[in-house]
Amino acid sequence: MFINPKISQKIMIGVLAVATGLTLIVLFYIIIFMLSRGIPVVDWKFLSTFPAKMGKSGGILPTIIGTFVLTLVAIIVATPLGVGAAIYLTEYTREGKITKIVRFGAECLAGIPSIIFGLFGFILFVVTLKMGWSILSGGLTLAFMILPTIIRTSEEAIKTVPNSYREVSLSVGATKWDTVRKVVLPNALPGIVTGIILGVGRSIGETAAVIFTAGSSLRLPTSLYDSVRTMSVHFYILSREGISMKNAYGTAAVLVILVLSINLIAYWLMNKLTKRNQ
Amino acid sequence: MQNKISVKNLNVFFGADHALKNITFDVLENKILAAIGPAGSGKTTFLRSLNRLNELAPEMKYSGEILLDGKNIYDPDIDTAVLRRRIGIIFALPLPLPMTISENLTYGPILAGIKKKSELEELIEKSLKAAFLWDEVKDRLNDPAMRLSGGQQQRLCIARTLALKPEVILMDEPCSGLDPISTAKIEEAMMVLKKDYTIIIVTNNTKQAARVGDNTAFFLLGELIEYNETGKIFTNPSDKRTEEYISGKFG
Repeated sequence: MFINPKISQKIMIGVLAVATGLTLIVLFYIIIFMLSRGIPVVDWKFLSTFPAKMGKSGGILPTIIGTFVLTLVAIIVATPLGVGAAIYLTEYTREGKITKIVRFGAECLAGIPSIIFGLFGFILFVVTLKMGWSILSGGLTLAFMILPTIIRTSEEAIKTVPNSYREVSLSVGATKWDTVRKVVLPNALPGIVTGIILGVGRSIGETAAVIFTAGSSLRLPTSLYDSVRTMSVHFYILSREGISMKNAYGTAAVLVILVLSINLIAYWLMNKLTKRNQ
Repeated sequence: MQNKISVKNLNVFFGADHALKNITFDVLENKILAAIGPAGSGKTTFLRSLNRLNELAPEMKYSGEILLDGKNIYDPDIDTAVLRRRIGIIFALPLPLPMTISENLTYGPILAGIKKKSELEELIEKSLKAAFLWDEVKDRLNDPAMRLSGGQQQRLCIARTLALKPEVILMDEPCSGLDPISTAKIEEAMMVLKKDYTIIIVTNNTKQAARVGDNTAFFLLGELIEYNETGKIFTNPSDKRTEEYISGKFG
């Protein structure tokens, strides 16, 4: 059957536009759904008080703090490891079998379901290393989970730094490490920061890996060996056990707003960093 | 007249490609040597082997010696960072680093261990003056270097090399991307600079070689065909290929 190219052109544009539109609609629907049910619950008291009756009433303060410290530990551990690995792979090794294997390994790591990470973290950190359900166990598990993202984005960022910069730097008497430190990294920074922010986003939203490793205590942690409950775990428990859908949506709304604002900050930061030298 | 650099039986390979074939000759101190030849003749490879930048290509292999003041720069005890401060290079395209004008100039010296602010400021002023750029940028030293025009950027690159206090300056077609006025300014700077430095310039422009070169070397397909005083090369070349190249029969 012959279709007039002009018509087929129009049909294709239509199909592509519908695909784009559907994506946006789903995104906005999720956000509006969550916020419309959650926002009415959220006020200063909700954010700043402890839960009462297992979360049936009261606020979510410890879960906000739990999410924050867990993510912080994950980023503090994963950033130097990830950026270091990316520098090694791009600057200090020649493209070959070994880099391919390492990269493939990192990709596989990224594809492992988070519940497997949870199980792994539970067995290694909680049980074998006797860290118990704690900020440390949870943070380290999350760190391993976001490591591939940070390696991958840092590698891409480092590769976009023009080779001529490296040559110039070396030609004025800089060593390889001087060049990496003073020229390559500053110029790759926007991309690296993006990778870290993506890692933050993933850590904040993670549930399965955390529930196995950080536990679900509602007390305020006083050390790295204390158990915490993150917002996403709190949401899961509230809704799964039917404790309070109202407070579950409130928690979800806070989570969504947090992730959105982190993305906005990331964009703003990236623009600022890239514009500085132009 | 003293030899600054002596090249002895230099061969350079990139993988299977024999880029430089048995090059032997001397570079005189405080003179400008112009290296000419068509694209792919090995003149840039020759230049980059003088400060060991060729090593950045992993498949590079070489044999032979390059003596700088009598000492082989390929000896294992040579620190390439120190060598590259002694033999500075200016690339074909203006390549300021994405930093401010003054940071571009102090980048190398700070890594070399100069910390005193007064000393660095003096270095900035001196090198910019020597590159004929001081008057144009003295009020905006903290602007990003990328905001300068192409000709200004290239003079900044010259100043950046001068700030290292080198002994030899390598120039790899430094005017290829510039307009005639910028080119004239850079050639003017070269004539002043040769009092204190030994300069080797690679150029595609035979007229430029004739204008600035004290000596001229003609490269063709990785071989050094002829090397002599510039006047002699351009008026009475001894090799037929040299004559054909400078008269524009090929290239």
